[in-house]
Amino acid sequence: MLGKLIKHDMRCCSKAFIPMLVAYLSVCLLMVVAIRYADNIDNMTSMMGIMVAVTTTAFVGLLYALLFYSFFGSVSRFKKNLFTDEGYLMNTLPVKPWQHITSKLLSSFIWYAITLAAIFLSMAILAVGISGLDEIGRMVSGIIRMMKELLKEGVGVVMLGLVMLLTSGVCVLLLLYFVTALENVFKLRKGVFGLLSFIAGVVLFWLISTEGARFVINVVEAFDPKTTQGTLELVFGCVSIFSALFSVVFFIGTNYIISHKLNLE
Amino acid sequence: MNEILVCSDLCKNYGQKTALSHLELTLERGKIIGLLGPNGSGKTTLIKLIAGLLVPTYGSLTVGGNRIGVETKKIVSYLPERTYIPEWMKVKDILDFFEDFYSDFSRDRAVEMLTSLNIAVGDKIKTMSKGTKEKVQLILVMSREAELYLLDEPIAGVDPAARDYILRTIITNYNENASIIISTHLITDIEPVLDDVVMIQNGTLRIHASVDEIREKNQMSVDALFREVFRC
Amino acid sequence: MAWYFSGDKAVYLQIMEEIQLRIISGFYPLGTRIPSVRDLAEEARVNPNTMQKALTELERSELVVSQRTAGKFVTCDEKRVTEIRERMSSECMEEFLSRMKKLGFTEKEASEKIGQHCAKNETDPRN
Repeated sequence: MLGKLIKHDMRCCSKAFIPMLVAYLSVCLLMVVAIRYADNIDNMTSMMGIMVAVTTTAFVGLLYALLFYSFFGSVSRFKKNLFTDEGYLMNTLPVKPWQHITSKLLSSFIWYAITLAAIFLSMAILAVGISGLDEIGRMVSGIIRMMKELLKEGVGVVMLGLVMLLTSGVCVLLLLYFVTALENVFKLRKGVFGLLSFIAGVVLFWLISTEGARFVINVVEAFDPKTTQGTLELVFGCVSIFSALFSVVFFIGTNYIISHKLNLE
Repeated sequence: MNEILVCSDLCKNYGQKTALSHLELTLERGKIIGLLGPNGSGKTTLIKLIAGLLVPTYGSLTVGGNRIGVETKKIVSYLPERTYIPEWMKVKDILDFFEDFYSDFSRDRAVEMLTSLNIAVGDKIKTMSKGTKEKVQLILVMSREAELYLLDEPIAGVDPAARDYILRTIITNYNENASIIISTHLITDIEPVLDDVVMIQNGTLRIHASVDEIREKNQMSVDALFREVFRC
Repeated sequence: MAWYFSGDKAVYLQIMEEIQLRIISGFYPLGTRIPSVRDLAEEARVNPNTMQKALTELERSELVVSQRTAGKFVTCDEKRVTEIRERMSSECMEEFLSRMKKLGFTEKEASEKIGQHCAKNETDPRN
């Protein structure tokens, strides 16, 4: 069942996402073409200048749109799918609420990964397009050398860093899901509540962050690591644990609300 | 077990407002049951409770002997009053969806009914009229071999020809082992299709009898009885 | 076309009457197969259970015969049909007389009236 839910969530997202990704990469290519072309002309006509400006603006705009949409889109899809008219279909499926939440979470992260890959691809296109393959070859081997050194020293840091990014991402998303679910329970006047839940989300986030920071500082002082590497590992580790804990809390909370307090109008 | 639905001391409150109050109701398998009552009587609340969209404040509710949950959702086919198919879908997508999540869904039967209405599998939900969307939903719901069908106002807000189509679809897809609960206030059209009638007022049960009993005992149609019982 | 049902009588009884009428009028000839319960229910826009109830009653009155897998058939017994026809025509006449009484006619007057009316119909070029 979970697999099928994920499949359907992906299909749903792709309707909006794929055109956006295609547009983004196309504009990226156009930008490269414009810049290359502008390069080859001796006197930069205003026409070429406009072309470069337009494509660059479009590129940056789409980049922001992609980042913005992939994040907030997750939350709005969660809300739309489970708490509006579509909820009449979804909540009567023979599926447990935790599966709905997990599916939305996983499909969101899969799309984040795809978005990230698209951004890397666009950077690569830009780099190759503007600087040429040789230059890129040199840059890439430079980067690889740097990464090899980094890995030799601080595998732990890198690993924990990634874990931290992942768990804190999950934690934030689940926080937003939780707040969305709460919004459904305490239905007052729509406009007022949207704002209140946003504020609630921000307050919760701030509280958790400050508590988390305090916790991390205490742990670091207690362990007193000697190296930067050690400190980083500790910090990353603590944040990860903290985020994981709160992720579980928000997950359970959201699950409880959907199972017992659902109220579709 | 011959009972498909058992409500025992069922209560549902929304804050101050009481929607259902100590409702006692048992429904048998193999019957088409009309759920009748004025607006705000608790009909939709009861249906949503059975479908699993609401949780009782007090009391118990079982379908096929199970409390409301994944097991009951497998055997309950629900048609709400509103459009619940996501707008981005095509007919093919919602067919895939039903096939994936409901093991009792018969895609062939659904496609056959859709074709007879000139609805193509590639049509977009977004472009359909309200009446067509409702017919698509009805077809999806009736193409499942469920044990309990919940139809919430299936013929309200729909033209007479469509109403006729809906009634015929309900009759021809009827399965003797399943029960159908039809909530409505358009009683005249529905009455000949019903076996039994449940009338609810202010969240409690007023009448639970067969259509024949009502006609023979009261010498009037259920529609006429309704008007009398719920006279304003 | 959906059948019409009045509000004060049980639906299955009204269905029985309609099917009896179809048999007596020859719409369903003697010995022929009548449509399945489901088809009839769809045509009449009624609950299949109700249609089944009506047909069961008709089987009891021996107007309809059920053959296990082959379906339901009109009886071959012409006498049975005639009996029912007679009964239904008596009911018709009782109803006619009761209505004429309401209009103030005696039974004898009503009888004369119907005779006159039929004679007029016979000579009427429109028939």
